[in-house]
Amino acid sequence: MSSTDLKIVAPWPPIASLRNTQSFHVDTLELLRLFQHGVGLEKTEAFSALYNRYCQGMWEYILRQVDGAEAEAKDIFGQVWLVALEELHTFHYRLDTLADDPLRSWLFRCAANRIKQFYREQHTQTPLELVEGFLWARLSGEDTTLYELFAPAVKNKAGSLLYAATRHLTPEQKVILRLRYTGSMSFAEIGAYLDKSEGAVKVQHHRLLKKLRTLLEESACQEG
Amino acid sequence: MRKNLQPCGRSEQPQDQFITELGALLAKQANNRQPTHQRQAVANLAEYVRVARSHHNLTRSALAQQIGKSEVEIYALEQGLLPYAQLDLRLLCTIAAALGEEVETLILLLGQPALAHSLREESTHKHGDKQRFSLRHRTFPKQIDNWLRTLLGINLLSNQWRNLVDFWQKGRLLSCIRENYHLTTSLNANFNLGLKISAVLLVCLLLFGVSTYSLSTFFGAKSSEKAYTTLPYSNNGHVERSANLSPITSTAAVTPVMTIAVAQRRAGQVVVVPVDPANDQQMATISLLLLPTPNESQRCDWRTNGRFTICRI
Repeated sequence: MSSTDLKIVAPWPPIASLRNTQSFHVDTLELLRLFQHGVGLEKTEAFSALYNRYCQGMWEYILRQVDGAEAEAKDIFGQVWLVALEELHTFHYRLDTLADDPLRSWLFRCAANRIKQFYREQHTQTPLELVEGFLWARLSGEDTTLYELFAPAVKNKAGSLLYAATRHLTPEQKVILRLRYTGSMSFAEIGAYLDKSEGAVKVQHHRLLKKLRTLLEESACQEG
Repeated sequence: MRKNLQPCGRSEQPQDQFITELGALLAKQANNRQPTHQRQAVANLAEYVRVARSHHNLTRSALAQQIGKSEVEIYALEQGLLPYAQLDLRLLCTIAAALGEEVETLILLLGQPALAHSLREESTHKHGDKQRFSLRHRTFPKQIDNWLRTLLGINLLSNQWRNLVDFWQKGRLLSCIRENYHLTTSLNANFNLGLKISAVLLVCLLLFGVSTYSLSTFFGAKSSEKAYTTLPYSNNGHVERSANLSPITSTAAVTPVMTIAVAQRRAGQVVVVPVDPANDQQMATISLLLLPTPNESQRCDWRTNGRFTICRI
């Protein structure tokens, strides 16, 4: 390896979309204020500056916590910043706290929570009854917040099971189940697309649920 | 320390690139707030793509290579970060092909039923016949060697046809019935023709049997009238009465006869002998007949009733 190769290093910190490099040196509180109250390019620049400020430390923290599993680390990293994007509008930067940088503490707390959830999902065995209950509730159009709150892994498990089960169905049956489950569409909407009445779709959906139950039982027997 | 965390053989460049591109995407999202229904549609599509990718055991980088996008774009797609406007038909078709899915489902999840409908109609219009045949082949993945399956009326509710009844294509069942109608009709016509021919043959056979039996009985009776005479074996009353009743016996001359097994005959039975006593060689024997008739009154009627068997040498 030559000495020139050693000089080629990745640019760090990564410049997300920061056009005004001067804003990188602006105070965190000021950046947050710009993000919360600014419009247009100003807002984008503020978020880029905040992202560039914390992304390196957060990435290293997450990667260490998941034992170097890169794919999982990327997942968690992205989810933390998605939460930040959603919640920074309402974040209150308190100067009277003991922490030097409340925003940094808050972001790392988000990352820690997400890592805990990741391990919970990894090590928790989700019973099939729970998955079925979630699946049926969602296909019936009921509220599934409690399921997702107390059993976070149930959503992924149910999605995988449903996807695997619907592979054996006809295209129309697949459309009905997937639109109902993933798209949360009503029977009338599905019927309008398929040129069928709402009642006909309901009947077919009912038959499909029976078929799905059989398929799930078979898959459970095979796994067991 | 940072390098110690890296897996063997991997450089930091992809991670940095990932972080940079993700930051750029997030920054774009920070300024462009999409309407709620678009965000919901992108989230629906994201969930579906994530589940499908995991089902096929594909990593994000592998999927990205297949569809010619970067890993961050796949990540953004799965997290619902991609702008709604970027999810065009071309991208959806590429994703659907990579995941082995119908593009129709992806379009519907994205909340564009009109586009899905037009695509469906277009494909039906263009490849109507082809699609119909391919669907039929999917319905019958393995043709069972059963001739009854050609008879639609009989086999309609068998397992092979069960999913056909539920199938989404409107009128498919009717079209299949229509297609098979001629075959069924011709089969039924052949079946009816065969039945008629068989019946005619059976009737002919019966007539032939009856006529043969009648003729043989008639000629047998005639020949027996000419060839045989009846002799009373003993002074048995009913035999004499029988001879009196029969014109043959009444006119027959009593000739020397070969006595045949007389001793073996029971009393009341009739022995029939041939009439040409001159030629001993031609003279044949004997026949005998007689069915045991326990009733005395019936013994006289055995010849007239035809209940006899002639043995001739």
